[in-house]
Amino acid sequence: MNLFPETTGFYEVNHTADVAIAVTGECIESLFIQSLKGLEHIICVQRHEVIKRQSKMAIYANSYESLLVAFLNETLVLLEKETWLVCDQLKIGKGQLELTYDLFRCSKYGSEVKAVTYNMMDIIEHQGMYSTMIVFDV
Amino acid sequence: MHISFSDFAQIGQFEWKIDKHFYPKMNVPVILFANEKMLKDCLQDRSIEQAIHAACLPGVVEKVCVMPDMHQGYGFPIGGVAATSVENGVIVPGAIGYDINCGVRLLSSEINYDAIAPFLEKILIEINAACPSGVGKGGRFNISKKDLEEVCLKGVKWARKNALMGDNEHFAIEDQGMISPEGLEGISKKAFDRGKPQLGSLGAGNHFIEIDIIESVVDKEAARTFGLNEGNIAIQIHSGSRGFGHQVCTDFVRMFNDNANTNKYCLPDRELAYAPLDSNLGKKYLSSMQAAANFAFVNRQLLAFAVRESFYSNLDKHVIPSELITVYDLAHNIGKIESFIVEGKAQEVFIHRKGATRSLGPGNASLPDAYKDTGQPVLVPGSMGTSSWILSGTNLAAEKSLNSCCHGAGRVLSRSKARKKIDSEQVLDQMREKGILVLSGSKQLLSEEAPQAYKEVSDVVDIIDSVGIAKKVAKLSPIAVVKG
Repeated sequence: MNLFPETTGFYEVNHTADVAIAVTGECIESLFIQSLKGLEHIICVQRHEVIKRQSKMAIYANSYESLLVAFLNETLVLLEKETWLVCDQLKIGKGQLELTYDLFRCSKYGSEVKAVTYNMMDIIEHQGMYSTMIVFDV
Repeated sequence: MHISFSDFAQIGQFEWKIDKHFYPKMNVPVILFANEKMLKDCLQDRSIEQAIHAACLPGVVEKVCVMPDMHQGYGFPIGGVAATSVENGVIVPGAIGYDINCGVRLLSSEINYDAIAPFLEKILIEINAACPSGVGKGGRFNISKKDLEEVCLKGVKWARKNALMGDNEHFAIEDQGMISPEGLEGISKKAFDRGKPQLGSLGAGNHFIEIDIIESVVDKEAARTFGLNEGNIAIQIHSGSRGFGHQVCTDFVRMFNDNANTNKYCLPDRELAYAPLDSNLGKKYLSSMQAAANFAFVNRQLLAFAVRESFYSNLDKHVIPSELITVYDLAHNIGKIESFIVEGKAQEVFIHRKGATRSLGPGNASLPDAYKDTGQPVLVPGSMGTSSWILSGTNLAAEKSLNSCCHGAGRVLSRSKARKKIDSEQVLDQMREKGILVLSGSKQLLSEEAPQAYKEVSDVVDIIDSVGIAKKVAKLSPIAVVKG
């Protein structure tokens, strides 16, 4: 049984203590964008006015999994300041993620996500599609 | 991995064992404390599989224990306890958790319900205002970076120096509220930045401050020693190391994973990434984790300070003896070196407790004098709106459960199922019918944290008491709660 969405997207998966999503993207960048959308969905982010346009972020790690965890954790740190990022451009190279984004003031009314975990995370490529599970600590 | 009920050997009324030969990589057996129904329920998620993975860790000794409030965690089960050899074992951030030194503090009083009833709502509103809740919410204490470093190095000694706690209060805190880290070099700037504004805040999720009545006393002598008298008010504070601990764990899980990739460790789950205890990376994590544990001890101290302020400003101390005394403060997400008899020999081991508390019995040298005869207080909060239990540690826990006990009720419904099945307005109605005041910043949280989403805490405590790894002392009933 395929646990992951067959096309680009995400859905919530049962997890007793925490919150999990299954994510699929048509390329590695798309997987990262869908993961961010999944997190945004869980937190129920409500965007308000834009604070800063065309900000840049670079993250370095030695695996796609570490890049994804670090990327999503960066967004949680921004969320602690009641801000949310919307990706404009995202580029992933070997051990590196470069992001251009707009930063919005935001509020939230969904789950209180505290951290992004490595639990069950394994980015797999199958027939050109990239998929993974992500478990969030809530 | 396929695990069925028949794979367990029943070794006591509520004790079950999976032999170390069950799975090729297991180094020690898994011991589970549960009734048959709980065990079968656990087979519906990955908690047993996660305990088996823990039993495969390098240098793990004696056994992996799982408490009756167990449920699936991320990598390591909630309610899990694993000890690794100090000489050739490993340290596992994921077996301690992101909320390092998440724990509970219990305050006792001589105040009865009638005395507090007219002021209860006002007190609760003031506590809610003074103890900010929600992810990332800052506390009211504006501390400097230097202060934060002192908190990390000296724990509640910092609070004593700043007149935020009583002279002898630290005796009633696990490890006296201070674990000495070797240094703070492993802690990132981001962790300090996140932690600095958050000291003295409650946080989110299942964190809470609850005002209870001591409903009944089971062990009169121990209850007297703990200062718990039937009919009086007690307060529970459940919180941890906030964004600081989360960032420390996040940073090190990442470094441990990079290390695993480099050294080609084969991990059953990336969240179980480990490093040898005597490696530079292992030592750095240990120090950083200890610093985060100190942060959490101080955080609960400041929350207790705010609770006291709310009580003292509302209750005339000349009419009502309103002093709130710390009974105990203990961790349920922590790692530390403790001494055990392993394979007939006394040796030091590194204990990982995730969703499990310490349970030291009478006479243990680590206990404060006041609790030498009773064993330590073990605090077991129930779910929102249900009873909580105060137990006392036993010496049998050293033999049976690595000196450990359960930490709460334990979830049965996932958060997504709870949201779908349980209406938050109905939860509020239920609480109102029971006469419980609830303040929560999130309606969704009320559904996720509803009593139906958890096991019945009394069932959990009955098993603990029957196995003998802690004994019942007193039962608490909630009258007011601030949810994180």
